[in-house]
Parts: sequence; C-alpha cells; structure tokens
Amino acid sequence: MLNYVNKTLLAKECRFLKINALLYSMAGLCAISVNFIPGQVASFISSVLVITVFMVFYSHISIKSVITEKKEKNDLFLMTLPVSTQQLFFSKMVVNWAFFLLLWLLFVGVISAVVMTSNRIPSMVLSSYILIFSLLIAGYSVVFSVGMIMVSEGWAIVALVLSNVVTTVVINLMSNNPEITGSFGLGTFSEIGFIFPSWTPIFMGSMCTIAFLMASITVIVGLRRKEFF
Amino acid sequence: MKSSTESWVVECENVGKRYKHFNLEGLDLRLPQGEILGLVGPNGAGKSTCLRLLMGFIQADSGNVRVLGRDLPKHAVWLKERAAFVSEDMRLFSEATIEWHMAFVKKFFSRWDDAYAKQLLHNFELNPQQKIKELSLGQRIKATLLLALARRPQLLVLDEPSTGLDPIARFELTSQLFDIMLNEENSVIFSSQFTQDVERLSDGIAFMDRGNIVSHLDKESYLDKWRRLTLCGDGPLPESKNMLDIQQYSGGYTLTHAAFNRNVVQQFEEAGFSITNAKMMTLEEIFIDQVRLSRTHKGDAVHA
Repeated sequence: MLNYVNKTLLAKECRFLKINALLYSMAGLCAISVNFIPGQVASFISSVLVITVFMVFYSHISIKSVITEKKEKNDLFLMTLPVSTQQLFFSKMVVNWAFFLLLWLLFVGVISAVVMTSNRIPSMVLSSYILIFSLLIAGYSVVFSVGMIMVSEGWAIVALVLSNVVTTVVINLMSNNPEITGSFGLGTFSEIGFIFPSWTPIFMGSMCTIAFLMASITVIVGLRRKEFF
Repeated sequence: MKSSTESWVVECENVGKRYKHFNLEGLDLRLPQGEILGLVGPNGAGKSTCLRLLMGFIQADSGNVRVLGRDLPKHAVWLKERAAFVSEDMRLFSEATIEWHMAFVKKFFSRWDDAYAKQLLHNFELNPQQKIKELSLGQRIKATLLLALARRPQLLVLDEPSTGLDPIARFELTSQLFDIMLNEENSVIFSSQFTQDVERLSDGIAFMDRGNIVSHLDKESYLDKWRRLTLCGDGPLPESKNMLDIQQYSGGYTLTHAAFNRNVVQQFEEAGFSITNAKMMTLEEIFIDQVRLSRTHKGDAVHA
C-alpha cells in the first residue's frame, strides 16, 4: 500500500514528466491525424512519424528522470529527505512505466479507432502497428532498465542506440515479411476484421518476456541497492 | 572534552570507506550536543565522504557510525527526519520555484516551521515565486539552506556551503549562518576549505587529510599550541616530533612548534636556548603546517 511519502514522491515524478508526456501525446496525435490525408503515402508517413514520436518519448522520459536528475545533482537533494533508496528507486520506476503505458495505450487506442472506422485503411495496418508497439515495449524496457541499473549517461546512450538499431532492423524485417506485405490488399478492418501473421504469438511472447525480464531485473537491483548514487 | 557518560550527537569509530582511488581509513570522530564542528581539509581529503557517511547517504565498509544515538545506515531514514544536509554540489530542481520546493519538503517533515521559513525568506531576500534556474549561486545556496533550516533539524550538516561564492557573498552567507547558529542550540558540523569561515563559526575544528582526521581540538587549543618561535642560543635543538620549518641563523633558530606550552619553554631553556619571540599563528597557517606535519609522520611510519 502506498504511504504518504511514496505518494509525494510519485507526485513529484509526475510533475516533472507530465509536460513532456502531454507534448508527446499531442505530437503523436498530430502524426496519427496524417492518416486522414488520402493516399498510401500519407499512411506511410504517419506510421513513421508515430513510431518516431513514441521512441523519442520513451527515450526522453527515461533519460530525464534517471540520468538528468543525477547529472544535475538533484539526487543528493532527494536523499536528504526521509526516504529510503528503495522508495526513490521505485517511485521513478512506477511513474516511468505508468507514463509509458499511458501513452502506449493512447497511441494504440487512437490508431485502432482510426483503422477500425476507416473504409480505406487496410486491416493489416492495425496488426502491423500492434506488432511494432509490442516491439517498442521491449525496447523501452531495455533502455529504462539499463538507465535505472547503471545510473550512467554513457550506458543509457549505449542501450538507447542498440535498442533503436535492433528496433529499426526488426521493423524492416517485418515490412518485408510476405505474410504482412501479402495481406495489405485483403481488405479493411470492417471487411475482414483482425488479421495477424502466423508468427504473432511467438513474437508477442518474446517481446513480453524481454520486458518482463528487464522489469524483474530492475526490481531485484532496486531491492538490493544500498546507496542511491 | 565530554565525559564518557554523556551522549554524543555524532560517534564514528574506526570507520572505513573504500573507493577505487580513495580510502577513508580509521575515522574516529565525536561531536557533543550543541557544538559547532568545522571540518577543514584540502581537496580530496575525505570531508564530503565523511559527512555523507554521517547522513547515511553512503554506507561504511568498516567501523561504526552512530548519529543522534542511532546506528547507521540502519536508521538512516529516521535520522534524515532529524538532521539536515546542505552541500555546494547539491542542486534543487531548476524548473521549479522556491515555493514549490518549500511545499514539497514540508510534506516530509512534521516539524517544518512555516513561520521560520517565511522569516528566512525575508532574511535571505529570496522571492518564493522565482524558479531555481533564475537564481544566482549565492541565492541557490540560501534557498537550499532555507529548506534545511525550516525542518528544525537537531543536527545540521553543511558540506562546503560557501564554495564558489565571491568574497562578499561568502561573508554575507557566513554572517547569516553565524546569526542562525548563535540562536540555535542544535549541533552543526560543516566542512570548508576556507579557514576564515571555520574560525568565525566553529567551536571545535577537525583537520582532515588523505582520508584521515589528523587533528581534532577546540579552536583556542589550536591557537595556543601552535607557535612560530625564535630561539636564541647555540648547540643542537632538543629532539621533538612537533617541530617543523626549522631554520638556523647566526645565534639561533626559527621554527614552528605544534605543541607549545611551559614544558617546551623549559625544555629549550635546559638545552641552552632562550625564546625571544613566540608568535601566534593564523588558523590557515596552522592548518597547512598540521597537514604537512601529519604527512611527515605518516611518511616516517611508512619508512620505519
């Protein structure tokens, strides 16, 4: 159960991330709205913009709440408060994951609504988005966990670069996958409903496993951490 | 000095903390209730490590740290409700206002004193609506001090609070600190590279060098014990580990003595010398010579 100190720490974390989350939400919604421009090129541009906005968003909040606070020496100020290392650690973790999931749900929800109600966007677009956004959960979990565990700008950037490279490669592989490319002409969501490639369960399972493992490692490290810096 | 039956605000026994390129070794330190202790040392002496150990921010690798009667790090959260820490390298949130910080910190402390916080705002000439990024270094330090003092701490720990300030801002800050400390009955431990600040504010002074406390006495004892002597007479000087900077001139010597008293005068007289001048030294001179003396002794011990 949350005690008063934890609530105050959570509120503090929210205060410093909410503006960023709001700005990225607006940027993401603008990117999704490009879909309303007729033509396949607009849909393609929209997807690139949405994914870019989301990746920049999670990289930014991870770096801001973990690395920037250490770099600007705010952590020493926080340590003067009657809070434990674990309380500080988990308040960051909870708020970061909460903001990530909030925007994840918002983006996926709005995209789903757009695709489901559209009479021209192929149903496979929704499946592709869901697969890519599952991939981004794993990407975020790696970036955030490395940041929290190492508390080092260098390591966070290494994780960020590696994660972005792997994400880009996987997205490219997906866009060339015959099961995906071959399904774009099958029809819209209102015509054929959900359509997923055969490897979807393995892919989703792998992404969830990576995210779960990274979050678990972060929790274990947080519980064992004796000094915050 | 206090008797063994009295309680200490700070008790460190043989404390060690090891880093890759720095070790704090065998740290022994005691601070009585109500005393202001100045911790003086060159860069890298271990002052910040020592103070962070006392606040429970970091954990000792060996030895015992007891503050306000409780063992650390076990009671670190309990201690932080009763002790405040200010450091020159501690930063408030640049995008937030002083007012936000006051409201934020207040939520953690049942003893937060609103009236005192307002008084400090006035005394420090701070505008609560101002964002931290808009403040000068001196104002930032004052804002941090305000947040520490309004908690009404039993122990105030200051880690080089005046570093980086220009001489006028430093004087202003130490004057305000002096006023506050005069009116408080709580204990204060602070570190500084500026011996003038320490001389002005503290009752006791501990000199640190290379991870050790090389000397810990009250201010007057230092000034009494350390003298620059001019001796008249011929012949060899009596053996002593407390002498340094010995210079011979025709008809006598000049030297610095670290334990000057009547016995020393007698010792010199028995050796055929008369003391023609026993000049008192400044705390800065004493600090420099104390560090040099302890390094010499340490070197001798290593070579032995």
